[in-house]
Amino acid sequence: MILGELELLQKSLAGDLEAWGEIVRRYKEAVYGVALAILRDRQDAEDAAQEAFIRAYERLNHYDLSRKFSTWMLTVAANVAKNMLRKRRRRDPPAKLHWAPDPAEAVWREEVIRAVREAVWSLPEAYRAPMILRYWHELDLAEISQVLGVRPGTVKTRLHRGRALVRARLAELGVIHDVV
Amino acid sequence: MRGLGALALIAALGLCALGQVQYGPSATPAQVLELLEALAASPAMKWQTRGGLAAAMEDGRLTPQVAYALFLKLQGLSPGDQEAALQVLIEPLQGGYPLDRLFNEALKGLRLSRPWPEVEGVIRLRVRLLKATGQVLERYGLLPQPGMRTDNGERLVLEVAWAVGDHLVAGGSPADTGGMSSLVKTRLARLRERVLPAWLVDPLLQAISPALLSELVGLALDQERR
Amino acid sequence: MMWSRELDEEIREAFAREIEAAGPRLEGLEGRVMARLAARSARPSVWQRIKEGFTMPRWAWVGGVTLALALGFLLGRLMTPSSTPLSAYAQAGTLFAVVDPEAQSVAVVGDFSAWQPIPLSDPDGDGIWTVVLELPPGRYEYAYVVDGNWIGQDPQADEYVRSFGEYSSVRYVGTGGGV
Repeated sequence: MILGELELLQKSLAGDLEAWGEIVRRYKEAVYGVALAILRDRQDAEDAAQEAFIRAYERLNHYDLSRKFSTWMLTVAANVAKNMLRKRRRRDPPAKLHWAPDPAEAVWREEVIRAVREAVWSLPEAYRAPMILRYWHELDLAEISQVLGVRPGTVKTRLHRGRALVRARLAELGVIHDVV
Repeated sequence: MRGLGALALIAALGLCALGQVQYGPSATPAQVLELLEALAASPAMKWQTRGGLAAAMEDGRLTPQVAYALFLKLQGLSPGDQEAALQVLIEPLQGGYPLDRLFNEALKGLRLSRPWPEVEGVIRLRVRLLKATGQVLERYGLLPQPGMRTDNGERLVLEVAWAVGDHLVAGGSPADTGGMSSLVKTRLARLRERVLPAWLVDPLLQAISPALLSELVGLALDQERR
Repeated sequence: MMWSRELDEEIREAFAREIEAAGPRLEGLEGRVMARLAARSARPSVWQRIKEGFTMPRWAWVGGVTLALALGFLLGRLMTPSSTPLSAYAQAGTLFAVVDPEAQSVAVVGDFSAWQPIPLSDPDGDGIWTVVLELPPGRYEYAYVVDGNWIGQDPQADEYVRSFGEYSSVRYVGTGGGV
């Protein structure tokens, strides 16, 4: 029997770790996505995702069950990742864009895909985070605003500018036809 | 020095192929000389300028379009400043230097609405540095010898002089030869990758040192004080 | 090559591919989370400390997040990666681009134009102003003029110089024609 989200959350609240494990399974990619957008490092993003699920579980009694769980969960994830980013910046010099060996790299050889990937992932975090929430998580402005703790107007501007920066970079790399 | 002059001429021809590109309205040497005549400067000053200007455009050290843009801007200065502007340009015009960058520097200052005396100060410093750089690099045997490929030698002088000038113009201390040295090396390395041949740049990259730059800056500033 | 209208789908794909690639990495994450939670529940003191962390005053969280965002924005700007020459770009010339949705007029001035303005255009009104110039190999100094204001520090520049009290950007154009 497939349990509904609300039921899983109620069971989790009652201390059922198995139920929470199912929540993790359902949301792990989404949570990882937000963390990766903020941290731009796969290992750190995985650590942040794990930490976010632990914190969310521990704070579950603060969660209002009438609200959308995904938004709340992503908010926790974004906060954990930003906190980690802040610590990392205190500890390390600004990280350069670097990727661990990618098992899927072999199928990503086409120039456009690589160029878009580089353009998207080299955006400043302030643009990258709202963009992943919009494009991949498909959240609306209000939800993105809630997750990232910034005003909807700011989210709108960042989405616009983020896209514009990607386009400019692709134009520079010569992979967009209609440059001018 | 005569050798250096000949070298400069050959190098200047190479320079034409290297970095000269102009967007915007075109201009002919004749139009530039017409603008010179229209300046509110003394006939003697204009006469002195005319020969150097015509020669510089003829041998490719100065793009007519750049000269035209500057002389057009000079029309807007006071008569005293127009006279002073020609005064400061005579030496580089007659000295065999590549001139586009120098003229462009003046154009930038005027574009930024800086008063002519400020622009003139920068131009004067750049000219002194060009002269001192040529002398020091020649003394250390860092310029291509006659008989070798020489088409980029003057470019080398220009780039070193310009990097040192950028340090000083931005407010850097003349005594900070360490900082200057690293700026010159970075710039040469960038040009080496893209514009200048390695065989020409590498000996200079090895030879550039705080001591050499100290000598160069000392020479330029001595000339300035004289 | 692609068209601008395909951009949204490509961006979505870029995010999706990266997250899909994390599949093996996320394998068993739920098990690891459950194991950690089980271990924590046996050690209430640690749990308590973490709880305390979450009951920090709201102003402290807001301040922290704001600081992280501000730092992220600033460092993100500083971390703009340098250009990578691509043959397609080299053939196209050297691109000058400004992102400013509010601008009314944008031009580039530089030593390639005797510091005379060359207008940038934004035909589709998306705030990206561009012009492609064919520049032979060399070192070029330039700045943007946006609604009459001098913008000397282009994030795409190779270096900056400062004279007459203003910054200008510098690009090195290589033998292929690109930057």
